Amino acid sequence: MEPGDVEFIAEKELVKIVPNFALGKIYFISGDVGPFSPGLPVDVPLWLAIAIKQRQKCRVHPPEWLDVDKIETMKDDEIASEFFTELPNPHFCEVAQLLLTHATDNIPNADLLRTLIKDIWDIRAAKLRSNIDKFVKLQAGHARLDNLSQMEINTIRPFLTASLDHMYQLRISQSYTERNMSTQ
Amino acid sequence: MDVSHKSSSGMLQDYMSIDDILMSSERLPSVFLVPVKGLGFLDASTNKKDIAVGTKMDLPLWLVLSLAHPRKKFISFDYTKPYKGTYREILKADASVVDLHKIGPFFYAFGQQLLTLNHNESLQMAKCLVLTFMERFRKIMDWSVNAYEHDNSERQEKLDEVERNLFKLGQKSLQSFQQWEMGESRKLSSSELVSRHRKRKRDMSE
Repeated sequence: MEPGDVEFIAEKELVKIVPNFALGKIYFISGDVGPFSPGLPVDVPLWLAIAIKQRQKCRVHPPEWLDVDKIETMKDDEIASEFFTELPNPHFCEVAQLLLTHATDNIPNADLLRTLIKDIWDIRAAKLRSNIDKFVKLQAGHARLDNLSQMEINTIRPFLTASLDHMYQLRISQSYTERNMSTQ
Repeated sequence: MDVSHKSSSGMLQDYMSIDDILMSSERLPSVFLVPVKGLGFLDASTNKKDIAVGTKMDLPLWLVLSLAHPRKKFISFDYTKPYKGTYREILKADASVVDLHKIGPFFYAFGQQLLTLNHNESLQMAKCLVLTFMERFRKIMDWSVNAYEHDNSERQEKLDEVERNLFKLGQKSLQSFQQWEMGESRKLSSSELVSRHRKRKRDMSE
């Protein structure tokens, strides 16, 4: 999967917007959205929020977690914890990235947030790599990693699956040899 | 070679894979156990007509695989250097600094093929292959998912073909992620085929 595909999935997440126009309900296959009336907050999917925002027809209410204090605590927790901390949203990285590029003027401290989110991403990536290494070194058959986001899984997937496949092949050769030796 | 192409790995060879053909033409020192009539020309050092018992010759892997079959042995063979005790010790000491590409561009694949034949050191060798990859894994992973826009040719040089493929896979996903982060993937661009097509037309009109 391309990162763009993951982003597409993330665009289904709901965000709150305050429109400055009036419109009745919009009927989508995935559900109804609206009605819109000026000044009244309403939940819409992210892709719609971005589309309306680009036409300057609304103000985006950033989600609760997209806040400097909250993100900073998250970062500290992430550093302190040995395991992956729970993200406020399964599409944390994508939603933050989209909102920060398209609705910068509605988010206080957007630049600082961007840096913090990048930091969290890097900490988690390093953690993921050391965990994978541990997993390979132990020759474990399975591992459990909670709270990984889809984007994180997606970036490591091609490399990880191919390496584990190679590892598996080598181990098959080894067990084949062992069996061969014992039958002689 | 295409990154997505499944490279030679495992006990089975892919008949059409260029990598596997190259890998199986690597030579092994072998000794004939039976006399072979009329094939003396294979041995360039003499001009006898037949191959006598005890003739030493370096034979390619594809030939050894059929001649040294456990049930019907025509030749006995020995491992090449990288799979022998001394190299195994080196790999055990620190596999991550060894130049695997130099000691055999298809180190793992060739080793796995050798394991299909009986040899008194095959168990140690099998273990060595697994350990070597395990040791080197971290480095390959760190390199491939960290170095963006660096010159990687030097690092890649020391990798075996399978490892190089893994490296490329990691690089590819890193690159597409970085591009997404920069917002490159949102921009529409003309397909490479179309832009090349135009160029060709201009060439023809000149």
